[in-house]
Amino acid sequence: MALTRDRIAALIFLALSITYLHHAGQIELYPGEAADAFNAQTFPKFIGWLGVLASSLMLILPAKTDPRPLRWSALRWRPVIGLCALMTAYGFAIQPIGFFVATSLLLLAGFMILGERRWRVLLLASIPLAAGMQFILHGLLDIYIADPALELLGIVATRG
Amino acid sequence: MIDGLLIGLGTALTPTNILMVFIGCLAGTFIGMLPGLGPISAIALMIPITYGFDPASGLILMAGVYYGAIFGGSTSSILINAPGVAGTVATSFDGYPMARRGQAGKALAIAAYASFSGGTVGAILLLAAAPALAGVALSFQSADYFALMVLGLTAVAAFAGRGQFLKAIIMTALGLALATIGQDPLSDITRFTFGSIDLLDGISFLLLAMATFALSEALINVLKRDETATQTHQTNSRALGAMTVSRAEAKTLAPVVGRSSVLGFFIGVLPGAGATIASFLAYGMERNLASKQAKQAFGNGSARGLAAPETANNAACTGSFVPLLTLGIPGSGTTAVMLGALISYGVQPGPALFTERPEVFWSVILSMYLGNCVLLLLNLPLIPYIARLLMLPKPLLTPMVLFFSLCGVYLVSFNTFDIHLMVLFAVGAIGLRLLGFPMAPMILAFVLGKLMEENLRRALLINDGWGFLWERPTTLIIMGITALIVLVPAIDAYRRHRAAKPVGATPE
Repeated sequence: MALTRDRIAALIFLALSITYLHHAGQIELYPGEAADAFNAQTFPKFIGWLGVLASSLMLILPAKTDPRPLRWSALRWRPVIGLCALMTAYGFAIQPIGFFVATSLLLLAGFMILGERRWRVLLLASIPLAAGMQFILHGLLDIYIADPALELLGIVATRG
Repeated sequence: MIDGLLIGLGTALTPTNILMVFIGCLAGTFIGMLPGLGPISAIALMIPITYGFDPASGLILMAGVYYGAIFGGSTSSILINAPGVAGTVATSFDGYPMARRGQAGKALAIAAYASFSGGTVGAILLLAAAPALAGVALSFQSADYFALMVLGLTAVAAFAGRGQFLKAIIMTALGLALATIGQDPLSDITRFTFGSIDLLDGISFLLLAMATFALSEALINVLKRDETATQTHQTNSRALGAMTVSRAEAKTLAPVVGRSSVLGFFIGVLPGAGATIASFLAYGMERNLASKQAKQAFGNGSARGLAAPETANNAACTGSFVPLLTLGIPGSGTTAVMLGALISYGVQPGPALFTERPEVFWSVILSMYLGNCVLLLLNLPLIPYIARLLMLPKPLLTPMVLFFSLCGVYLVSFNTFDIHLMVLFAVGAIGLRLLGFPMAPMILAFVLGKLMEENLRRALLINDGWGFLWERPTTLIIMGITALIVLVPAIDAYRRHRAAKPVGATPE
């Protein structure tokens, strides 16, 4: 049995399903609930067994050869890793530095990662969009988003 | 009924309410087109705005936003393969390949006509049979709902593609497993949260849909450097192509639209089924009805594959108002938000609404027909201009898609944990996509997971065991159809495997 990519994926899913099934068995129940026709463990166990069955069948049944195999080395991993790191950083930054600055930086850095180098385009495509969203949310819809940077500059009022 | 209809007509045709339909459809199309903002977010944002309105106007505006967002979602599904709504995921299967082939205009026109037809047929069916249909939905029991959801999930896996069935079933299990994260709604027992407070409420649908569709698709486009394809896509997107449908195509699509309208409407009536399951079932039905040659075009830009889910999702949107208005049970996530809005207006949906507030009940139904006309009139001429929003150069468009996706989720929860979870899911989805695992079964299973568990719970407790699967004829028939869906392709694959194996060949 050749260990194809699909079979490796099936093995991973089999391991995940067994782990899930194990955790499903660990879900705490109220006293006497274990004997009920349905309890908080029933559905997760059903899902776990479905996963075990499907991944086992995928592992056992004859593998299908991909007519167009994917060349992993030809993929552009660097910008994708950069964008993922950028989004993670956005998550960390949005509350301390505020929506407007964090969004402007996210867009600006995102455009740069993807190869845009014209400063005029970079600034015109990022700052007005962030400002527009901030205005729609804050000014029109009255949805308050804490923005320490703009509060410091006195552009938006502090609440609370 | 005639009296109610006349009262409804009087309310729906007031200048204010006609304006509400226009504003709702336009705003919905615009919002629905932006990946990250689906109808649930759009309607939720509208609730504070509609507080000052009377209930009929508020509900008419939200219904317009709903239709518009579904149509807008179809537009982004077709043009950039980023469905903001689960109901338009099936639209992207054939709509996006058509756009990549340079037929974006035609795909958008088919989507507009199909949506109009589906919505119109749905509205007529609703007018003709609203009280009777409420009875149909009432006659369904938990066992039938559970069986219907199993059928839906199996059908999605079955049409995932040849050799993809097991992968789709694995993704279904993954979606169901993700739906079990959080507090068990009935017993309040926490499951799979691993001590995290952020996971107590479970994972939101919007988060998962945005991460596994919009984010992962945008990142995959960056990952696969295919300059020729990129250039072709962008050139084609700039020039949408002719937005016309030939007479021959209309003739081919008419029966598809007819079948899908009726199917979509009836699926939409069933609480919990909604536009998503209707669009997937309609797609599956058309694919199974197609000839061998036509079947191969599905997934590669088939007009039938585009028209079927587009018709069904709009018909289902109309149908989903039946349980909401007559029973007080939301048929989908979107109508659940509307239910919350109605209660906040002081209107309690249910059988009493039908008799006590006929102006709300009938004006909403009549405004649906008006909404469909408005969508067609507004969208066909305006779509090339609105679609320009999606035709920015890729280095500019991709970060914007990422931003709107993150923002759409963050603005619902205001929790930065959701942003990090989205990145994690997007990375997982990229890996799975590269390995050929389909995303649609996972998202559908996630949407249906909680409802499925609730119905299984009720069915098992009422029947004290698994006998419910064969004790009721309706459940038995639905389960029989499910078994057929699984067995027919399995037997077919086994036969092909045996036929392809040379005589005397040893097994692997």
